[in-house]
Amino acid sequence: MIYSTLLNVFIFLPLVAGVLLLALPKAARARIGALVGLVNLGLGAYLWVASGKTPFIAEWLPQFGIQYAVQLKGASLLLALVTSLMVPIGLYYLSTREDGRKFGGFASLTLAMTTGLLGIFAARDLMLFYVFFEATLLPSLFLLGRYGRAARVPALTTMALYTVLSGLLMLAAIIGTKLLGGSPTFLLEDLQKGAATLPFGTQAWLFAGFLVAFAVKTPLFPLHNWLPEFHAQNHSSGVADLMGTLYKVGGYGLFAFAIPIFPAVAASWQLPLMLLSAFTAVYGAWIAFASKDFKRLLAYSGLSHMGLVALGVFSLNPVGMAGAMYLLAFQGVYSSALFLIVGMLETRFKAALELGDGERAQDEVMTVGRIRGIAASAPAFAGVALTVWFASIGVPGLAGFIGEFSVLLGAYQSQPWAAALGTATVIASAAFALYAYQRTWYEKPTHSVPDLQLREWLVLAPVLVVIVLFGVYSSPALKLIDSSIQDLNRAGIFRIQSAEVQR
Amino acid sequence: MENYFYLMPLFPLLGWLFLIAFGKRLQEPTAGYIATFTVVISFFLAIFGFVAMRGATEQANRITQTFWDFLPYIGGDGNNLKLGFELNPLSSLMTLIITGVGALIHLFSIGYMHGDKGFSRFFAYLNFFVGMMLILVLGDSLPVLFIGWEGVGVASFLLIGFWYTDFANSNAARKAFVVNRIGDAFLMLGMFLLFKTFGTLNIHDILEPLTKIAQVPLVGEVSLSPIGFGTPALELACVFLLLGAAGKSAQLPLSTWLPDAMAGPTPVSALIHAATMVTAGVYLVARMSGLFSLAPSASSWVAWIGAMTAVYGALSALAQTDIKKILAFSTISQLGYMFIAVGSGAYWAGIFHVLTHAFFKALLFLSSGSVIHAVDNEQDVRKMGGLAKKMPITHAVSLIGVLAIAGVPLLSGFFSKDAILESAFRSPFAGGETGGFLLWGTGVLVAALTAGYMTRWYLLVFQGEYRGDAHPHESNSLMTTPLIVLAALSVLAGYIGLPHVLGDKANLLEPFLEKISPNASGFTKLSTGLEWGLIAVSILASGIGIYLAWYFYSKKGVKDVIEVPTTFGAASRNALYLDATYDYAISSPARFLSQGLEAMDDGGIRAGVGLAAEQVGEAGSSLGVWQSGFVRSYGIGIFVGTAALLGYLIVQLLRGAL
Repeated sequence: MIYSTLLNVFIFLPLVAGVLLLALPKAARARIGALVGLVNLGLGAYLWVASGKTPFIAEWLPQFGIQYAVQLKGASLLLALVTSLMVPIGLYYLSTREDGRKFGGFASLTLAMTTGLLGIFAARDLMLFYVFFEATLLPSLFLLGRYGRAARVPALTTMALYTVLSGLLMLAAIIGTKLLGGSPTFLLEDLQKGAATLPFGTQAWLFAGFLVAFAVKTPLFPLHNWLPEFHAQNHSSGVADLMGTLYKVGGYGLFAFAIPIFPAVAASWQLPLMLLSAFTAVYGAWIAFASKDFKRLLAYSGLSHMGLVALGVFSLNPVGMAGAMYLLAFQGVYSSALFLIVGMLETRFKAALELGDGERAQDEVMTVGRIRGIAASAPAFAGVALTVWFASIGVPGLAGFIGEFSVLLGAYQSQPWAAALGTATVIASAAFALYAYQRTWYEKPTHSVPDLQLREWLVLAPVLVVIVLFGVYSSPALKLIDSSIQDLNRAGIFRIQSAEVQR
Repeated sequence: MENYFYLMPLFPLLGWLFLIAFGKRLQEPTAGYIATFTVVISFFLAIFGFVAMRGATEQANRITQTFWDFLPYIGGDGNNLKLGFELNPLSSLMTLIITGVGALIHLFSIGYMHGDKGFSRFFAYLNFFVGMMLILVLGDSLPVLFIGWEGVGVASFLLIGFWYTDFANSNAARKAFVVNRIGDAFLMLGMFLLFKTFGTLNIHDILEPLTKIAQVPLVGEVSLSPIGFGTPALELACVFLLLGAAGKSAQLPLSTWLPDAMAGPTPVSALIHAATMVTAGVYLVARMSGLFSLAPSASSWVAWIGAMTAVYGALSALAQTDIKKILAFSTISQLGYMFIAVGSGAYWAGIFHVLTHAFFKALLFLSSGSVIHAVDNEQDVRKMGGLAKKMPITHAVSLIGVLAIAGVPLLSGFFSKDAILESAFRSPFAGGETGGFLLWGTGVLVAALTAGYMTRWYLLVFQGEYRGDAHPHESNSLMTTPLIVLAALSVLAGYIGLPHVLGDKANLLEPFLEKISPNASGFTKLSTGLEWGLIAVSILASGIGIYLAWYFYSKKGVKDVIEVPTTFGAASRNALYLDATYDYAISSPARFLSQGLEAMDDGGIRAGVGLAAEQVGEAGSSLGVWQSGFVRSYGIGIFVGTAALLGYLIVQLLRGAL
């Protein structure tokens, strides 16, 4: 009882707090928001320890079979925990920035997004999932529209169009699955049973609906075009990008819903899907090498990660799927942190170049290589940034490796060629990451910048701890993911794969 | 004590953490002594481990220690792979080399890095390297080995780029890491395939079932089907591992990063880019010997890649003018030698050369460091000369190093080189007698070249008249002591692996390593006369090399020769244009393609699907965000969504009603 109450508090506390924040003076909002985030993280920790076994189900619209069904366990819980870890970090960082204290709604929108994300991970009813999935888009768009850079409108429109239209396809697919499969409710278990009775052709159409929606959200090539500008145009602090990074839930949607409902289709489309994912991974890393804008670079780096996540999910192999969830969860830590690091760079560069707030100035600040050699004046910053960057390119001993390695290994077991293509990412990502790092931190210093301040340490220290800890001591996270993998195993996902291989 | 072997990597890593956190507050030499001390502790642990392993038998040849879950479902039978360490004769010998040579080089660096702004940072990185290298050799599974494998790559990146404000240094650091990653990608593919074949990545569990068929003579097509896998999978896995090893050990085609890596401080070149890290590839093949000895084709690839690289490195070393670059190409060449050994199936001989090379090459690099230190950071051998009188100790130890690497009898390099040449001659993987002869002949050629370029190095640096304008002086005892110890080891280390002709008990090393990495089966036997003959030829080759170098650089006078550019000299100095070729054929196209794709992808947002968005966006942009197209389109979306939902609900209602 206490458990399910706290579970619901965990999901909705950020939203409620976000609304209440608006009553406070602007300068205090982000800080209080961070505190709320911390409380929520505590709640999340409780949910982890208490580990509820059964979902919380309440009737919502019973005449249509829509339930309010939520449960946090396994990979969902891991993702929710990462979300609730990163939100207070992002909000605290916002509160330490001068511009962050002037914003009226930034913190509230961030908290609203948090509820949406936690809802996405917790939902066990697909209609509820859809509602959270789409509702999260609103604050995300508002963050971009309200606080983004000057050229934000095209970015905004592109993203809105992509996500809304693809979301509609998913809605149609969800409804179609229930209707055609004849399941009594929208609960995942019911839809699974119903879908299994459908002929393959019907399943394929329905799966395609899910697939497009999730491919946009992941994103996968060629549906990724909204991503680079989304990041490039978001507020330069990187906090909105952090939320955007956590919002890349397409891989989770495939893992938790699309594949469990339509395993046969996923198995028979496996090769093209895995090739597409692997291509996305290499393509993203390769383009990042030529990106001149820091945030576009990180956007493409994120695209590359997401290609790997999808590669693991589509592998229908326990190692690959577990790796995909590991990668998805922890890229939420280090990719997000990289955006904050770019935010810290931006404040330094702006001061060093003595630039104002104009848009031209902003573009110049964000250009890789405009300022070089800052390791000389900011050695601690250099070390921390390098560590986070190494995590992001999958150096073993840091959290990125476990996901990346498992994804590629699992992918190799089902489709060696797709895995080999994906493995090229290992090379491409090292090339772009170290190139950008070298241009910024190494080489002959052009300017002197301050080293990390205490407040910035407070932002980055927890990130460092998490990426080192879960790079070496991965077993708590593996244990969580394992429970989801066992569910998939019981649903027969991996048997389908091996049958497919033998055929 | 030996049961605590897994603590070996811990001490240097603690040292690293401590120095990173508090290094700035330490007075100069303190950081160096702390770092050295942590490595010395590990060295003592390594000795305990080694002593224990000396008593090991073929059945009880390992001590293991496992910790917590590390990677999902790949530890055999669907269990998670645990983070674990294993001590066996091979890894134990490697830990001795790493911590022993490592401690000496730490000590040397206290003198060498005196006055550097990044003194503490240097020792922090050095400690990090030693910790990672120990993880590499102690890992009980391939992924744990891989932690160390990439970890030393990170250390190498940090140390090559130690003086990062220099553009060339930063480039060299990045190049080393990226080229290594090419190898790492293949190593990963190797692991994936091994998992597919064996269902585990624990090294012992992979090799264990193979020992049962190791005694089967490898004649023609051997069917391995009784235990469920075929030869092609083994061969392919070994080729993947070979490419991984080629990256780390700077073998063709991935050799180009090592000469550039000389941008790092000289002790780094000695420790990482000569004695330890670059031998990781050899270690990998020896560690996986159970696999390689069943993969004849892949093994002969190992041997021939090694042979080609040995020739390539030696030719490139001939005309270099940088005191360290000569040694760098020499290292590439000597690593090729080690690959010949492990590719021939004589794993102990490869490790033997790792050992002796660690001593004499570290010695040569540190001597170079001592010289560079003395002549105001000059590295061009054309501006040296005559230093024998001014730096007597450095000169004496350098001469020992040169004679050892040149293969002069009774010094360590002679014995390990001889072991390799002999193994190559009678290798089961060389492809019959002709193949063995060719492999051996290539080795002999390289031996002559090695003696030649090392004698040139020695003559240009130490003999003749001083051609520079600094005031050379001998280094202090902090630097010379490690040199003397290494010189002694360069003389003596060979006696643990004496040739067979001196009796069955003469070789102590082979039986020790055979407990974990037994030779491949099928070596041909040699008559005593032939064996003596081979030894005589290799001595002769060294003699010819030394004589020719002496003839050109001492007798004919230094000046004429080093000033005259020949076609061959230019090719050698440019490392046979390999770098330029790669840049032209691979790097530049990749860069251009990347820029093209970036532009295209950026344009893509304004094309295709994005076009519609642009239209809507432009229409609204003048009206501000709230009236802008996005709200409209989102509104439309919500409207359509609601309509669909409503429509569905209506259908449901009607169904219920009807």
